[in-house]
Amino acid sequence: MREFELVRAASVADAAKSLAANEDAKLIAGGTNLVDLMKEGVETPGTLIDINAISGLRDVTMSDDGGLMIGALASNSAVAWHPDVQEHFPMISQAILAGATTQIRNMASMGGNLLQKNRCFYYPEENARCNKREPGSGCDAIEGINRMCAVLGTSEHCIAANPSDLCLPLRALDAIVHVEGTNGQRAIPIEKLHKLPGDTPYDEVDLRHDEMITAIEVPPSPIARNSHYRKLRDRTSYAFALVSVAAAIGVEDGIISEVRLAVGGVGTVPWRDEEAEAAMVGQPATQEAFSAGAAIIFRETKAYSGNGFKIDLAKRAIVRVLSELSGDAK
Amino acid sequence: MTEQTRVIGKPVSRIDGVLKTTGGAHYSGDRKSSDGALLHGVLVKSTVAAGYIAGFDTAEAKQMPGFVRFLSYEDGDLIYRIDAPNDDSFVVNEQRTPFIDNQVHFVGQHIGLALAETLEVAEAAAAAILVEYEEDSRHIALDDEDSDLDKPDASGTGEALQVHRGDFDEGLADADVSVSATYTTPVEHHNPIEPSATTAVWDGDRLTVYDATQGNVNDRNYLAAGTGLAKDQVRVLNPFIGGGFGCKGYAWPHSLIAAAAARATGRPVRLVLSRSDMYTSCGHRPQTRQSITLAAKSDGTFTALKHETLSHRSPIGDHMEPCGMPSMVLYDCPNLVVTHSNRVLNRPSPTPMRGPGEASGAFALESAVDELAEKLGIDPVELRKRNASQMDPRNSRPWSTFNHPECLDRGAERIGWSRRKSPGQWREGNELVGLGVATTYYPAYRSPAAARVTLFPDETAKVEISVQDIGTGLYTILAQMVAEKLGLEAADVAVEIGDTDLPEGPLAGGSMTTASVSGGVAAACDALQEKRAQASGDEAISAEAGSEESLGFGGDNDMGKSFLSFGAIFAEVRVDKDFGIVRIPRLVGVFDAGKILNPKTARSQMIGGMIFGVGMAMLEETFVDPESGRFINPSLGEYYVPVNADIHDIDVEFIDEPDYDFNPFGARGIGELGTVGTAPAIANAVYNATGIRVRDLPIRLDDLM
Ligand SMILES: Cc1cc2nc3c(=O)[nH]c(=O)nc-3n(C[C@H](O)[C@H](O)[C@H](O)COP(=O)(O)OP(=O)(O)OC[C@H]3O[C@@H](n4cnc5c(N)ncnc54)[C@H](O)[C@@H]3O)c2cc1C
Repeated sequence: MREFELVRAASVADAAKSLAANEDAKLIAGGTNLVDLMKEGVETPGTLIDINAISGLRDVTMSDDGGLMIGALASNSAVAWHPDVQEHFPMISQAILAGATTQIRNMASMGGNLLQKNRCFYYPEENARCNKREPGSGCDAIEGINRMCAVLGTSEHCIAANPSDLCLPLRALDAIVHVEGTNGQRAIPIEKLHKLPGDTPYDEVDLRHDEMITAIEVPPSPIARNSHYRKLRDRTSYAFALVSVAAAIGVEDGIISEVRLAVGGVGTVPWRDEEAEAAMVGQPATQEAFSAGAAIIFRETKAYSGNGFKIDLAKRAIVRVLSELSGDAK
Repeated sequence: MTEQTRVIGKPVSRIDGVLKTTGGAHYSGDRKSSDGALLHGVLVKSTVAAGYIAGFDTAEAKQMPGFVRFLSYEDGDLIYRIDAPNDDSFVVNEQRTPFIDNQVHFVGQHIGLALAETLEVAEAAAAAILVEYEEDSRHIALDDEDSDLDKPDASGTGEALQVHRGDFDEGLADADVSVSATYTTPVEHHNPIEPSATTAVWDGDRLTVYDATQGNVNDRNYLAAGTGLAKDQVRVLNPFIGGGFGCKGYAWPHSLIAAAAARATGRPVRLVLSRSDMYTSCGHRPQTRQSITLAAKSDGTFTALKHETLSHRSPIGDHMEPCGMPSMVLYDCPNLVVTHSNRVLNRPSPTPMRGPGEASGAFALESAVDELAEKLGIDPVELRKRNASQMDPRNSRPWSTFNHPECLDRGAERIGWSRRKSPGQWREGNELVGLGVATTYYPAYRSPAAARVTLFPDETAKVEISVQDIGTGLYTILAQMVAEKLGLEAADVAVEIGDTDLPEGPLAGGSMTTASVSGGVAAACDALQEKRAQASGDEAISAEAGSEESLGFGGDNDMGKSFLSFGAIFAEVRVDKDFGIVRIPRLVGVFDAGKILNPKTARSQMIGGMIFGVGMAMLEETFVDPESGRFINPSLGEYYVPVNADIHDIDVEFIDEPDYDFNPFGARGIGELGTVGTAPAIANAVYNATGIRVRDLPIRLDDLM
């Protein structure tokens, strides 16, 4: 690990100012992702700005209209076990609890979770070619071991999957990410936060260097009460998703009135396809309709030597989750 | 000894348990240097698979405050040339002397050591050292026909590896039914929770090394050879080991590099391997491809068996994974062909890993037996019983105890085998349910061991022996043995192990420590009892004795019997019909391992061994990057071992029939027996559940979708 300086930010403005003053600085929240990457020599910040002492960023509050405002420093555990989250947005709680381990979730912050790095085997490997770690070096995963990699949104420069479980229900629910920098505050729709790799896979998120995430807002969604997160993986716990599904569905008189659906493990960004949702609305809530919707999501895929199975697996998972949810839906 | 025992056979709790749970047990990497003189070493590892080092650029490292020294092949005379093939005082799986020249044989080879005042500086320095290579062509793939292929005659334990019995072609022609299939297993790593660690301290011309090793005497002899010292000038201490599973069994270069660095700098040196170092520094279970043909009469009688193994070794290593061993001993089959070939690849050196050969080999053989049973329409339990070898097929000697069929029957009863349906027929909701069986076995080995036992006037005792407890419970077993013999309680016996200045014992490998030490301990206790009869009781009395005999290696001995432990593993699996995800709600193991000295520690060993097999069946694989030959998932985040959520009910039963021909306490080894048959039992259960035969480990959900 490279030597670094540690400074403590007292306020969001303070953190933004420190960032602006220092190109080589990074924020540290729980450190569960950043410190690992520093040990591997992938991240080499000269300065770490500890944001944990900033007050007012740990609250989870529900507004009168049923939306959630979640502070960026709230721990993953605190959010997962929050009664309002569990009752009104079960898939958020389930997604968090399906990730990492109890110890890591206790440390991990919500803001950090949104920005966690990918889990392609070649990314932390110093001597491998990786365009995210070393722009222009190439991508060893395309011809190499790519079981964990994406089949949607890939480019010839990068096929790494976005690993976050949390981002999927947030994407399905059109969450808004609030950030603050030296130029003031912005609200970024979560679909705009993560960028497709294209030919700049190292440019991962729509955040300026001096900006810090302060909160995550989840708009009200009555159907989210009837939501579920299902994660399929090689190991029962402590493993990233091969495929995961975050879904909410409303069914009236047997007809689908609304669907919110995001798929994990398959996309280079948290993946959602509104066209698929639109195609399902108005259809009878049957496996045929779910299956047709799933087919739309995967109409244009690119599979690699070790991950083609994800396409079928994801379709099956979508059908299973939506079928189970609509069985429950009144 | 009679069968009536007082302390032996009782579930005594581990006497080292409190030390371990309170942090009182100090491991090799915990040793503090009293005078603050300790230097930290970090390995510089090759990043190419084949070639030569053209030069090092150490300029940046040398600027770092706290950096002390960089060592490499350029410090030529640092390490004495070890003569591994010819020096029988030690065993290594990597025969090249570290730093002997500038040649590189695989990614991860130790090519240098950065030494600094702190670990942080040593790490930064190691990372900053630039290496220039002249690359050579590399051989990475198992089927790379341009690389050399060996056909070794014998395994590391003396077992013949190229065996022809009877006439295979005739046996095949006589058969009514046969199956032929190819099975593969991937590279796997031991992943003990404690990484290997060496702290080396020189005092004049004496060297003391705290080393995380499963074989302290072997390690001492290796270190003596590599430093040019006499054995009695070197002392290796390893009172506690955080698991090994084979990767700390034989000696490895990092220990010698640390000792040489301490000599070169005149300061104590600590070298703790990082988790990723562990993937390239101390062996792995090599990849195998095994082809089996098994043929039988319609009544199930085996007529022909061929088991051919292709595996790999490094250019500087000699390990051959002896997968054909189960085919030589488990069943009566008059016509047998067993072959082994080893491809020389530019990958790190393999080494034994829990059930070496047996585990990979049993996966192939026991899957083939299941496939044959299916084709014959005979119950797989019945087919195994019909063909179980009544005597050792290698030499027609009787087994010292023989309960193979009984293990199968008892296991069938415990798992509820009668519930089993034909493949794919048992469905509950979204799950397909299946039951599977496999035979497990492990040879019984015994090595020479001495022991010293002392009785104090207050009727407490001490036993001293240079062996190691790698987490299995040996401390407790030794206390029980001495207590039994001297009429004391286990709590009255102090156990001192893990120090090569004590009477020499065997390395902890081949499941043989308990069996090996029992002869020496029993003899020392008997000698002590004689002295005790004459003694006044006011003074401590002491006796030392040893057993010189090795037993079981290569199946050879002069006792007219063969020693081997049998067992049976049964698995129940539930497979999601759409997702292919496998759950294992229940595993049953029934084992005949002689007298069980301590049912509590023994049960832990069997459970641990079976979980090891779950890992092998379902999870474990070190991915080899096909282009560079790099192990690409060298961390516990990406190399999956089972977690609690993967493990459900595990049921263990012992036959508990003493084997007094083997040693005075009647015990055979148990460390590996639980692992060997577990992967095939699970694979066979998966077939029974789904009708899909997975012949390539690990079994993954995409195999079953
Ligand atoms: C062993 C292990 C297993 C895991 N398994 C899973 C899993 O199965 N599923 C899953 O989804 N995740 C998993 N994770 C990832 C885990 O969720 C993340 O590490 C965690 O959420 C990151 O939060 P943190 O606060 O620790 O972030 P940090 O490590 O502190 O920071 C991560 C990044 O975010 C930046 N950052 C942090 N906070 C802010 C902020 N407020 N504004 C702007 N930038 C910020 C940092 O600068 C850094 O770049 C796993 C992690 C580990 C170590």
